[in-house]
Amino acid sequence: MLHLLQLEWMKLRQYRLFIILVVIYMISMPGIFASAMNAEIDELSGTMKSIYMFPGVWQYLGYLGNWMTFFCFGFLGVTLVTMEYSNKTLRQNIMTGMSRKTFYWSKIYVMAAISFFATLYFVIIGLVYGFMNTDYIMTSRVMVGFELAPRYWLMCFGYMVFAFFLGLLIRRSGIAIFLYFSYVLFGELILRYLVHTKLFGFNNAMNYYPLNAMEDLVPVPLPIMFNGVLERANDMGYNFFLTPWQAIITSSIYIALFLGLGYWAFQRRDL
Amino acid sequence: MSIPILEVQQLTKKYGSITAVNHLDLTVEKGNIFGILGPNGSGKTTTLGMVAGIIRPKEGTFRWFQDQYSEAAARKRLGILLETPNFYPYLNAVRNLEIVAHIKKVKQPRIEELLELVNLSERKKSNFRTYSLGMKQRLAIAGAMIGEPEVLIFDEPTNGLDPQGIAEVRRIIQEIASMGKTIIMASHILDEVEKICTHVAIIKKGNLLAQGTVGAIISDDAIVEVGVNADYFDGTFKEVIQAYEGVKTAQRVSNLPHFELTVAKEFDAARFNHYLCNKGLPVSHLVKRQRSLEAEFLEITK
Repeated sequence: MLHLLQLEWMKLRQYRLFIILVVIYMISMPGIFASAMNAEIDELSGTMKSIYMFPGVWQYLGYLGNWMTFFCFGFLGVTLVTMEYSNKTLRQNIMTGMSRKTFYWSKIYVMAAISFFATLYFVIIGLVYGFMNTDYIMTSRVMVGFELAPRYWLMCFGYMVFAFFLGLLIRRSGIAIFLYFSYVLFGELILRYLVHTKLFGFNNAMNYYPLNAMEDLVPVPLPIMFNGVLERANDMGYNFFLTPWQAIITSSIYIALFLGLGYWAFQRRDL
Repeated sequence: MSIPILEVQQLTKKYGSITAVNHLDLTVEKGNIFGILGPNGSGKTTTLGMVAGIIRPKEGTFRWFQDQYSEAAARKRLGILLETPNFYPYLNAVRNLEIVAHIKKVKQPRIEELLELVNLSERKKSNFRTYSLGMKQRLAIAGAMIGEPEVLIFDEPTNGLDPQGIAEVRRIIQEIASMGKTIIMASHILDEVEKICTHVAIIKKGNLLAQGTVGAIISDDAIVEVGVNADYFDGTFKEVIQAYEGVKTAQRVSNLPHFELTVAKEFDAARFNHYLCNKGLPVSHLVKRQRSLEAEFLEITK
């Protein structure tokens, strides 16, 4: 594993797009998060402050991270493999002496590692903001972040795997990136709210689509005023979000499916 | 004793309805400089792609090193340059070769030495994307040499290069050959194969047309054209010719009353003429000429 991670690092360390995306993530996580601090919503300042306090900081920063990992690391997930196709280095790697299996694993490892560092960074930024802004530190509230971290990792890994899967099948980065963004941003919504409702009606099964499940790992923190709406929907038998465990299991199944299908196709095709 | 390095059996690849490689059999032995010769689109690259592990055969098998190693481990003992030089464009020569060495798990890759061999030392710190085609090709040869592979595979190594580049690449290949390595090389340039190779296989439209030492296929044999007047040209003519000692093959030349014979170098045309006269066949046309690979190639791939 270490050997393959070293190999990926040799490939990535001077890859400009990789550096740019990592820098965007590293700057925007604290940067965009901080920008809410100066927002001119004085009358709401009480609630705004809670964004930066434990445990709120975890939910709000997590939600920002949800968008940023989707953008930065999904993008990267596509190019991790399309870059190898377009430079024909994939075939060269195989000819040089990798098996297809080890090549595939090297990509899984590097996505897992990148997700790990993205999560680590999320935790660090969360702790910094939390400790700076929370007056009364309660361990249990700080610990919320550590409970969220594994889900944050799975979310990032899931986005990357989905993007990687598209890149692997489509081979061309432009089309694959376009498909990735458009599927996540509208494709699945159309599937869920138009196709699904038409075929099966408006029900909880709508929540079990792959990207929705990954999104729900670190869900959007709705302000308290929405609680009424959520409860009413609950009473009607509809949930807006998957529970954490539902999201974890659903996402894991999709991740395994994407990786498995990708592997199956990759083993068979000419490079 | 000859040790088989690569044994290809009944290898077949189809792209839709097109058969790119058709039940191909090849054997490459240790120390061979093995040329695969064929016109463009004859299946050379597809064949090499299959033995290099990047194209999946439809049928047939190939064995490297008599199956002593796993497929990927066997490839680590090869140096392969297929079609174009493939490197990371944003990395320099040294970094790119380090990646090759890392994959092959070569501890001391002697990168500087190899860059010296292919005359790239001065530009070793430039990114691959800034290289000319000739430089890219030379870097690819250096890449193929990492880890001192036992076998090198070159596909059209001089394709697209200027005359100077061609000469340079040939020099390098000959240098590598003189180190006693096995080389498998595909080319459609006859001159190249004639100058470098010891063995040759000729393929066309995916079919193997001939295989053997360059000597056996090219220079040892001579060609004799023999013709009689149409009056004498009947079924027995061919039989009489073939009965003569030293005639290897006899092929009729289109619709003419002529035959083209493959004969040994020492073939004596005068004695053959005498023989035919004695058989009551007055010859109207008799030419003996040396074969060139070009003639051979055109003949075989006709």
